[in-house]
Amino acid sequence: MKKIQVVYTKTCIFCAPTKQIWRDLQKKHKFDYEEIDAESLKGQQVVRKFNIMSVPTTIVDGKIQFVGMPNKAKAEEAVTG
Amino acid sequence: MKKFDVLIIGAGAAGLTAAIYTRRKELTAGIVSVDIGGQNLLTEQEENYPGFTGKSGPKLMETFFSQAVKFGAEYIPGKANKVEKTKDGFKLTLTNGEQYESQVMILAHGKIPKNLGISGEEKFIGRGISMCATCDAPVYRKKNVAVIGGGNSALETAELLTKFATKIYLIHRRDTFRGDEITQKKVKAAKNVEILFNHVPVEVKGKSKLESLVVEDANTKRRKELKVDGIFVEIGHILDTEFVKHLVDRNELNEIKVNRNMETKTPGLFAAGDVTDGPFKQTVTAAGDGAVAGLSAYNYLMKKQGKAAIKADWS
Repeated sequence: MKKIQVVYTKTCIFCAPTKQIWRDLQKKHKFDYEEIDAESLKGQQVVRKFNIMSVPTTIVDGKIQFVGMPNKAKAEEAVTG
Repeated sequence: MKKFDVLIIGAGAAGLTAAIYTRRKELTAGIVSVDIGGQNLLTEQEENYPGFTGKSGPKLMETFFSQAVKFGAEYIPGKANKVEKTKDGFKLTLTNGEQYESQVMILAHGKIPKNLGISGEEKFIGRGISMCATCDAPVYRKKNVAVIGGGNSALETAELLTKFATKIYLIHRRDTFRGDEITQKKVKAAKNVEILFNHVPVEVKGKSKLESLVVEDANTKRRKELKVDGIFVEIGHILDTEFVKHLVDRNELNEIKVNRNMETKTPGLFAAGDVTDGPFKQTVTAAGDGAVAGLSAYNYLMKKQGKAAIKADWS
């Protein structure tokens, strides 16, 4: 099963709509989904591990796939492809 | 190629309002923009937007955006690069090569953040070069960063970063800042800020990640390499109407000339907000322009189909 992780910050205008895209897709498709606050302990580890420089960043199966808000169609492709 | 009834370029107050109005007329609407919120992202407090006092510009824009998406507008992240007139409307090409078609188009991209225009910059946008300090500052905890600029935005970005970054280089091409005295004092007093006056950035370096920024002393022309993990560009905004100059008339400020229905000289092509030659550049006037452009776009399509256009709309 695909694993999607969204790294976000509370102050970012693009993060809430990005999370909404993935939440909506979860209603249509089955995949593991996690939202990670960049300021949490886990978030800081993920930021270091993936060298994340901008949020929202979406990690698909352990690889950064989207920096910034993804296009809905491309996000859907990422979970179905 | 995906086709919409309406393509809206820009997701600030004008573009998002146009999206709300066109969606409420059940036209399919795509919004193409590099950001959501436009110039309002820089407004700390909205003081003069009726009914919305004391909240930030980004918060107001988040509300606009949610409303547009709720009505069914589709957001397409990207930068418009080329607009072509086709038999049925318009073809839009983005800088990433994606293409879309529409019957009508509304230009509402206001002013866009100015790039540095130096070697290596494009490679690291979103991967070390940030245009949104409030979004990205927390991911630069215990890292070294550079902030470029000397106005309020640059000073406020540097001040915000003092809470997260280990070291902040504040680089400004002149020998004095343009920003507020109070913010200047705070930044100058911060122990982790090093100010480099009379310096200009000349190259961004790095292999898989951003590693350094080369700056040049404007007087001596001596260069030095600053080891940084991130760069925040805060050098202002520009009006970019070059990509549609063949389809519109522009004034001496390169603003797009429109009539009171927000029509440009090309039938089916409308413009709204800061990108137009309107005299006032306010959130509320941009939203008003967006509503007019949205309804005019609807009327244009109705006329094209031989249907009656609306004269007044109270919905």
